[in-house]
Amino acid sequence: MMKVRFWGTRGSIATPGQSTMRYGGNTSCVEVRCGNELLVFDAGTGIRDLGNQLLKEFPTDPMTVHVFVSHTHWDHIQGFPFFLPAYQPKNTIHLYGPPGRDKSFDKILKIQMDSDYFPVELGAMRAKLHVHEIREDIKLGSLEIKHFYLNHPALCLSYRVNDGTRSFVYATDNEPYQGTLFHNTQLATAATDFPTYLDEKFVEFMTGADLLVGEAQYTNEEYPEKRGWGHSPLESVVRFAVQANVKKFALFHHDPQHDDDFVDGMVRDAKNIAMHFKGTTECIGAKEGLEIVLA
Amino acid sequence: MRPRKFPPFGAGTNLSPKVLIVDDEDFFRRIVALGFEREGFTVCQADNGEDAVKIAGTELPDLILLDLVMPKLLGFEVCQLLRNDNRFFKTAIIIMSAKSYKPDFDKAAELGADDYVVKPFEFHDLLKTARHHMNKRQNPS
Repeated sequence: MMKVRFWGTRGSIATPGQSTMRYGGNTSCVEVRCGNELLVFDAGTGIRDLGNQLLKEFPTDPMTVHVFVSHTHWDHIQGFPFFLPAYQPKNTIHLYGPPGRDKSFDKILKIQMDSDYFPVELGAMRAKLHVHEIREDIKLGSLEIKHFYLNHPALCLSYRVNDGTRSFVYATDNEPYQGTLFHNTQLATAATDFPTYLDEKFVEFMTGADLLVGEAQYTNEEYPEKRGWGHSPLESVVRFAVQANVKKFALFHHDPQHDDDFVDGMVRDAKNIAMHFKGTTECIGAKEGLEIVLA
Repeated sequence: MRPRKFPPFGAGTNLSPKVLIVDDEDFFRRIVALGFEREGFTVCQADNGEDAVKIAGTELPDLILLDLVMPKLLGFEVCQLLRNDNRFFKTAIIIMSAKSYKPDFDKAAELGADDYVVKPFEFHDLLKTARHHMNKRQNPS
């Protein structure tokens, strides 16, 4: 059994306030429990509340937490300095993520906590911190964690967790290649099927997932103005989820300009798009506090 | 100070220029390889960044075509390693990637890549770009 809980569902920047109460204002953070393993996907501002919850659950016993970072843009790492379990010597925290273009993952985490930006340095975290750059797929007990590079203006990873019977995919901050490549007029004469091939590789990575937590930042109408920002229009993400036979798709990484009513509308549109493509994928909106059990 | 010695054009053979094609997509690597073979290049190939660094060190190619997202070492990391090694001063390095974001273009230039071509591309465009940068590297003004 896998239990998935959302602690932060927002993209780009935290958006607290009355208009985002239902879907939540914290940036990306998702907890996955499977057997004895405690996995966390991204360390956006939502990880602070998760940390507080873990302190209650493990008041004296040590805990081991595996934090998988998709990429090092602010909204995916900015909560980590506030993750209190990382300050307790009894705990072990493994951080996994991609390297930067010319800086190690470790260095980027340190820079975020440089005294120019934050009063406490990474070294002040007294837990046993292990930082791993993802170079190959990972095994944690009976869990297999695969990775896949997404199309984003940073080195950005998607993760897939398989426990032998159930599978969970975390895939946020991705722009379809079909969107980015054809606005480049230099490519007018180039072969047209290559971007499709690359997008199909992403679909293959997600195939058969019981739950996809995937970005749905823009509507189709918003996308043309945001092309090249590394996010998807709704239609393409739903189409990919349907093509991949994903059972449940939680729309995630809500745009900070989208209030709750707007996200409601996007979820409705996603359901219609899935029906249009004759898919059986169930579309829901990821909400802070929502728990999904994959039994 | 004694002048530094660089590998000659053609990696010592003076017969044909040597290209190292680095890409984890087999079919893509093979297509590009075929094109360069037809143009008389000696072709070496690697499907990951770690092997690319090893092969570059033994083969000393005149041209390296480098994918960005690959197992073991990423293209940016390979580029950074090679550009910090004097043996590759005269080697043209061209990034070839499906990613077409400005930050990637900028970082590639900052790390010493001579150019960045976005996949998919026409082979004759790549060849033209490659020859231009190989000549520039061999005959710096």
